[in-house]
Amino acid sequence: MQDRPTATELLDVLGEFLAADVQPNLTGPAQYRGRVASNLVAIVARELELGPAMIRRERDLLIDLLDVGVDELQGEDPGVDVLELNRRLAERLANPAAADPVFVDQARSVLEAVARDKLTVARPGYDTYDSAGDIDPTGRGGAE
Amino acid sequence: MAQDLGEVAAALEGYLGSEWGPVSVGGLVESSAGARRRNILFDATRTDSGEVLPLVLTISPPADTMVLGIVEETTALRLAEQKGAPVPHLFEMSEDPAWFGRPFFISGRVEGETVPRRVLRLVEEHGIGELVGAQAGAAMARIHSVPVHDVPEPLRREPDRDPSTVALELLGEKIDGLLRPSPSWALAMRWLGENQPNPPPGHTLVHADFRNGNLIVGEDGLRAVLDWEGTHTGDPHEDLGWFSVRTWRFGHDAQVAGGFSRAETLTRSYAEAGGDLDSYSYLWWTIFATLRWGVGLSVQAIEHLSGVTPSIVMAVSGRRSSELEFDLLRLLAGASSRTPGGPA
Repeated sequence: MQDRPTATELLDVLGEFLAADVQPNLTGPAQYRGRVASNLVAIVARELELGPAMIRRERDLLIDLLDVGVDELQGEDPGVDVLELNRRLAERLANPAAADPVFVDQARSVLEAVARDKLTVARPGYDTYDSAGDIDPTGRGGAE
Repeated sequence: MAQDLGEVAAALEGYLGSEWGPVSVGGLVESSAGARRRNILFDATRTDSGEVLPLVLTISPPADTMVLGIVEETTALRLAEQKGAPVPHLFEMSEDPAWFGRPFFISGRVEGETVPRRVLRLVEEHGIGELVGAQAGAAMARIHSVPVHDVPEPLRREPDRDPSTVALELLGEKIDGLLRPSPSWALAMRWLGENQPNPPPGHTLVHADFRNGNLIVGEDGLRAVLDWEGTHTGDPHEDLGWFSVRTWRFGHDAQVAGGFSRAETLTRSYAEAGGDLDSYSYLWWTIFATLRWGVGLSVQAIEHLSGVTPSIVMAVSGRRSSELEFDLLRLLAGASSRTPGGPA
């Protein structure tokens, strides 16, 4: 076992260092890259905390959706399984004959759940806005 | 090795001197905008009259197949200006490498804000969001009034085929080259393929990157549309859709039209300025644009990982594609029951 600080604690101090000592001294385009760097540190910290449960959730959702037997999968590393399951799902969705509308709709729901999960690491809060109604295809209120 | 600003000033005086007569050049500032090419702001003073011209020098990047040649880009700029679109006036264009090592052009400098978040702050302070949304619609209508037969050959993208089909093919190739399988992209491609809009009445010039970040905005609203390096011909709704991608709202999510205004403000102004608007096509191209940008972010990650463009910004882009996945899946949830209909 590694000694303290933990990886998360190290990232915390790295984030604080960037904010307190690095950012204020950056100018021009480097200023923007500095903000990106801080954001990157925060992403990794959240992934360390939330990632393991997330990848198992994604695996379970995809196994259900694709009706895959557990014996078909590698099983030890959920990341490997998820990659394989995503490959199968993408392939099936790309094939017009291999997915009926009900399956496509289920897939959309599963993928949305996965995307919301990914956002808790990559961009917390992003999924509070719903773009479903952004563009009204009937053009009501638009140009008549 | 890039020239320093002193060398650039000397080259500018040499070039402009040969074209315009004696000129002195000063006030050079390197603009941070533009990841690939160099933009240098400067003032040129005509020695004889003392007239001062605020200008911008744009030097094209090292040969890159993704970007248009400078001849094509400046041709598009000129065509748009002739139709009354707000663009910087083009003064000079040259492919002679003797001056800056690369092709370049010199255009008028339009004062105002270009950095997206500052643009939105300015717009909010002056309460001109609806105005800018309307001006964007009118500007697009003018750009789209350039018919395909006026556009030089290299900018024409398969004028005899349905633009949505061509666009899906081009994007499909990019998706095939990604590092990991993406069922969300596959789902979106499927929907887009099954629900294509009617082809437009005619192909037109399309800016293809019309969004906050490529606009100059002042207290009086939209002043100029920049960055014509990706322009091509196609379905004009491509520009309306791209402008409406959530990313370009920079947090002003409810202002669907570019973070500035409601979508209706954009479409009404577009139609009033002579744009041929089909509401369903607008929806389809917005979904297409959201997919295109999601894939674009994944491609940026590849450019970083492969060492083509190692950059912390490109690296983090790879993680931003989940934002576009989410937007895409919600847009599809809203649209899945719709079918291409007649005109609104």
